[in-house]
Amino acid sequence: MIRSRRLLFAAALGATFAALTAGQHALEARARSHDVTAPRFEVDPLWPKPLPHHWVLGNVIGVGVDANDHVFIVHRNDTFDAPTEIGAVQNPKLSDCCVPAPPVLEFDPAGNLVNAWGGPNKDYDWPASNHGISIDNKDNGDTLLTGLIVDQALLHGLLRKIRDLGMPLLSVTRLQTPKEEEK
Amino acid sequence: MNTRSLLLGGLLLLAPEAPRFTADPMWPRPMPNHWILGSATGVAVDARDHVFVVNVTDTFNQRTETGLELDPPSAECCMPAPNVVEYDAAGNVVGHFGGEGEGYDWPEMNAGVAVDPKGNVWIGGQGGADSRILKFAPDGKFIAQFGEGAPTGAAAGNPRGGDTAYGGVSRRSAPQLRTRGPVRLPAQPASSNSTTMFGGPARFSFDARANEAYVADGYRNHRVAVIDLASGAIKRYWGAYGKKPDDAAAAKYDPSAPVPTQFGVVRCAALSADGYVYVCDSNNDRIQVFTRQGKFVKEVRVAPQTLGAGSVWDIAFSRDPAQRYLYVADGMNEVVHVLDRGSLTELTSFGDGGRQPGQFYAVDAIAVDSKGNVYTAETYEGKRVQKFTFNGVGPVTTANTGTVWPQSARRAGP
Repeated sequence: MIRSRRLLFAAALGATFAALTAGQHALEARARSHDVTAPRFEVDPLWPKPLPHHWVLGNVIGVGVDANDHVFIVHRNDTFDAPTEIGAVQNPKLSDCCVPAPPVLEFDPAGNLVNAWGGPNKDYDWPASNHGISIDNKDNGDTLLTGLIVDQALLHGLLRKIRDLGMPLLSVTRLQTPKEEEK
Repeated sequence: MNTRSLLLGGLLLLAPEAPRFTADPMWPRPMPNHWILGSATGVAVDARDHVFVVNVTDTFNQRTETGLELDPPSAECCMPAPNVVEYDAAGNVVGHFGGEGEGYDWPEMNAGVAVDPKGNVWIGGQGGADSRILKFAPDGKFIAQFGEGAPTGAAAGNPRGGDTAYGGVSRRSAPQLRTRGPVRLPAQPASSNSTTMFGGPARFSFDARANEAYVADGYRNHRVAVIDLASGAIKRYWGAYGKKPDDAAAAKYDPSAPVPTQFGVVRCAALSADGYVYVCDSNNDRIQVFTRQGKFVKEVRVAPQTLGAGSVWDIAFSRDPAQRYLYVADGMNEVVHVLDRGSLTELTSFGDGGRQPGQFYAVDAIAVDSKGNVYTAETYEGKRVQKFTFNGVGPVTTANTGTVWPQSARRAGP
């Protein structure tokens, strides 16, 4: 649990936005003068290959590439409209299609699906919303951030972000996860 | 000839022949003005192979989809496209129109689109109070509206009338929706025996020689109505099995129960070149065939285990002179069924659920151009039009060919 001043948080965000806007204008001006080079791309509509098992993706909120150029994506597989999108897993079954894909999918460089995993498991707590952090404004003006911090790296990154935003940190409190509370 | 080629030859002989297609991921070309399509409910091809798509322009989440239309804009993208977008054969946007105008009432929720023998564009309505058919010149100039308007009564803030089709994600985003159409009217009851108004007219087909149009009527009514092409007067109409339609509440579709004696939602009434009317009884998973006069000929059930909105959403004919094949858009199973028109047996199907080229989310409408290419429109959160290139008729060895990409790009392995 991390506490900070709410007003400072908002002001810091505003400043960041202003800086980004100014940066964009500068970039556009330079682009117009044709004296910049930049990476160029074109869309590959046939990557990745169609998924098996009538699987469909929910909101895709993460993508990463490993050393072998395998592409990992994570999506929220609970963001479907049940009657129109995932009729095959309703009770009674409505249609032959579709089925939510597992949350983490791994593709090889050719776009073949090579692995699929994720979701609730007895060994860990799968995030309720894969990358969610809740923000709660308290009556006394404090802001309470609550979320699952899975490792030291994520905690460090979060603390650094709060520092960069110029928000005074009041406290950090470790909460028990629901699974720990059971023990 | 070795054993292997003999076997292969035998398989090919046994395999039925059917039209084959490949998804064209580069059609249409990107639209201008940061436009995006809303739920696309209709697609039609005219004599020039121009493709008309109708979409429902208030099915967006303004916060996440159409930030450019906010005041002030929240982002550089996107803007709802006009209700009707016209593409040329190459996929360029060459025309657009739609929305409120002088002399007519734009539907609460536009349904299908069709191009008549003179090249004019007909639009249906599936909103809870939609009871009219609109007719425009190809450039969007208003020509006529057919059917009485629903009684205005007390205008209510009824967001979707009696229509439940839009139970998609847009329902969750309803608070962000801005009503762009007319004031929402109270949902109307069915009126399947009215000779003056329609009940959610969905789609149309035309008989130029007889100067008649066939109306799939519709989302509330349970009939086919035949009207005069010029005046819009209702000349004759019929319900399931050619009988008088009855609006008494029907039991929910049950695959194991005897087939319903009335139509459910009538989403298409497609007239073939040899004079038969093919009717989509969508939620009842069946096609019924009639003569021009409404005499029942036969019926076929398509994927009869399908629940919800059903398996028969729209029908198009293949472009060979005999119209040997029927293409049936199935927005629940996310496929296009390919049927032999004579026997009504299913030969194969193509497509699968998903957002990639050749996949579907709620494929609602289907049309064919002069070269036999197929166009599809996706409603709900599908919100797109797709083209499938006709590769000729050949052996089809599987019941469902899945996502039809070029062979070289198809999925390998398990």
